[in-house]
Amino acid sequence: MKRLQPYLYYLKISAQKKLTYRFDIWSGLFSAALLLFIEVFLWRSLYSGGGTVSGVNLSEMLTYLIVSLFLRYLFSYSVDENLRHSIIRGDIALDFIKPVSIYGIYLAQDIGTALSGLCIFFLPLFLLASVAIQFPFPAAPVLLIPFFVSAIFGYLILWLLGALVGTLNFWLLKFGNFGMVQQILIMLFSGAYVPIWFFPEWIQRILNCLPFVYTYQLPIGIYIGRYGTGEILWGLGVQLFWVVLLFVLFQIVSRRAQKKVLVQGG
Amino acid sequence: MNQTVISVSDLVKTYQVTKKRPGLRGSLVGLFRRERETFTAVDHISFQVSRGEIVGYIGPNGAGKSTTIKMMCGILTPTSGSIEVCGHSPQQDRKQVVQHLGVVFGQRSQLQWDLRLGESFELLKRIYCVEDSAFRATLDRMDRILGIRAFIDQPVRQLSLGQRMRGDLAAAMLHSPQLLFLDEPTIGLDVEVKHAVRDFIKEINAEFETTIILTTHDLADISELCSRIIILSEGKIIEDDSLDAIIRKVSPYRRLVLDFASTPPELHLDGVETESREGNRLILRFDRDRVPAAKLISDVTSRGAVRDLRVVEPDIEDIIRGIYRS
Repeated sequence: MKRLQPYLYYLKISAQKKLTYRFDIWSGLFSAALLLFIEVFLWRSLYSGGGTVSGVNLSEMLTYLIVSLFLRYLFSYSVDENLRHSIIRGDIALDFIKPVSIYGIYLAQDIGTALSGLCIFFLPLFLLASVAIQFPFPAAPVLLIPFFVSAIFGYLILWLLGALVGTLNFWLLKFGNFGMVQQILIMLFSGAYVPIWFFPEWIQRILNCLPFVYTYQLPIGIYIGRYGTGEILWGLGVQLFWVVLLFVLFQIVSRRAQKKVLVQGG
Repeated sequence: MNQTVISVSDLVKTYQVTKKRPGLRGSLVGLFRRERETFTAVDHISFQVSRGEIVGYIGPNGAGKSTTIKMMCGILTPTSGSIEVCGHSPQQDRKQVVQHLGVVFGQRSQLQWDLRLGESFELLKRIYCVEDSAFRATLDRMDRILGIRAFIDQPVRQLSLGQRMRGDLAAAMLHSPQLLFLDEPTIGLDVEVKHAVRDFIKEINAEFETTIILTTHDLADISELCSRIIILSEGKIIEDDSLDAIIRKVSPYRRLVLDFASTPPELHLDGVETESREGNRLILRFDRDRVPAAKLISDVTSRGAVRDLRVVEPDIEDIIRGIYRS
C-alpha cells in the first residue's frame, strides 16, 4: 500500500488541477453540450426517413451518441502529450530523478484527470441529455457488465497507444507530432463520432484488424445491444489480445527509450 | 571519516548529432539525406568525491557539466566507463540511487505549477516514503534557513523566482539526501536570495554532512562555498584541486599598485615585472612565492616617495577565463 501512495497522490493532484481553472470547466461543459446537440440534430435529420440503418434505429443511435460523449470524458488521457512536452522541454529529467515509475505517474495522472472530468461533466450532461434528448437506457441491464469490462479494456488500449506514441518521441521528436496523427486516427476509426458500420464493407474489414474500433465502438455497441453473446465474447477476446500486444510492445520500446534518453536543453 | 560517495572512472559520453544544412535548400535536402557526426561531450573523466565535500563543478557552456550530472543521476547512460553513487550504479539501480539524491536544476522546477507549494512537499513526502515526524522536522529546519512557511500556501505559479528557488531547495532536501546536485542554483537570483542560497548550502553541509556538487557560472558561489573545484573543458577535466591551489598554480602573481608623488622610478627587481606605468601610477606584478610583499614594499618605498599603495590578489574570474581559454 505504501508503494502505491505516491501514485494515489499524483492521481489526487491531477484531479485537483482539473478543478483549478473555473473557466475551463464552464467552457468545457458548454462546448460538450453544443457538440452533443449538433450531433443529435445531424443524426435526427439523417434518420428523418425513419426505420433502421445498418440494423440500428434512431433511438439506439442517440443512446450511442450520449454514451460516446461520456466515454470521451472517461477516456481522456494525455500521456502522449505529457511525454512529448516533457521530452521537448527536458523536464523528463525531473521524472527520472524520483524513485518511482515514470509511466506509473503518467497513468495515475491520467486516471485522476479522467475521474475528475467524469465527476464534473457526468451529472450535468447526463441530466441535460436525459431531459432534452432521451434517457440513455442500455438495451438490457445485464449488458452493463460486459460494457464496463469492455470500456476498461478500451481505455487500456487507448492509454497504451498513447504511451507508445509518447515514448516514440524520444526518437521522432524532430519529425513532428505523431500524437496528432494518432488522435485523428482514433477520431475517425474508433467509432467515437461515427460508428464504422456505416462505412463500406472493405473499410470495415480493414478497421476490424486495427485496435481503434475496440476502444469506443465495441463497448458502446454492447451497450445499445448491437452484438450477440458470441460476438461480445469474441470482441472482449480481441480487446485482451490488443492489450497484451500493446503492453509487450510498450515494454520493449520504453526499455529502449530509457537507454537512449537524450535530455534536451542544458 | 573519508567515505567515498561518488566514484567516476574513465567516463565517456558521445552523441550522434545530425548536421543541419543551411538555408531552405539545405532543409529540403535534409528531408531525404542526413549527415551524422559524433560529438564527444564527456571524454574519459575520472574523479572521486568523499562525504561532506562541497565540490564546484565548473567549466564554460557546453563543457559537459550537465551531461556528467545527468549520468550520475541515471538520466543519461554513459557510452563507456563506470559510475558509482552511494554504492550503486545509477544506470542499473536508478531507484536506489535517487532515493539518496537531491537534485536542483536552476532552470527547471520540480514543483507542481498549479498547486500550493505545500502540496508539492506532500507529494515528495509520499514519493520518498518520509515519516511524518521526519517530514515535519525537515520542514521546520528548511523554514528556519529559507523562510518557506511565508509562502507555503501560495500556488507555485504565483511565486517569485527567488521564492520558487527556495521552494525547490527545500523540496530537494525533504528526504534528507546524502548527496545534493545543484545545477546553477543561483541563476537569475538577486543578491539577497543568492546569499540565502549560499547560507543554505553551508548550513546543510555543516549540519548533515551532505555532500554537494555545485555547478555554477557565478564564481562568487565557488570562492565562498567550495573546498574543491573540478574544472571541465571540452569534456576533459583540466583542473581538480582547491581554489587556492589552482590560483597558485595558474596565476602565482599578485599586483602591487603604487601611486607616487612624482614620476615613478625605474625598478629592476628579481621576480618583479612592471605591468604598467601611467603618470604617477606604477603597477608591478610579482611572484607570490619568490617575493614577499613586505620586502617588495620596503624596497620600493626606499626609492621614491610613495603616496599610496595596495596589493591586489588575482581576480578569480580572470584566472578561470584564462584556464578556459588555454
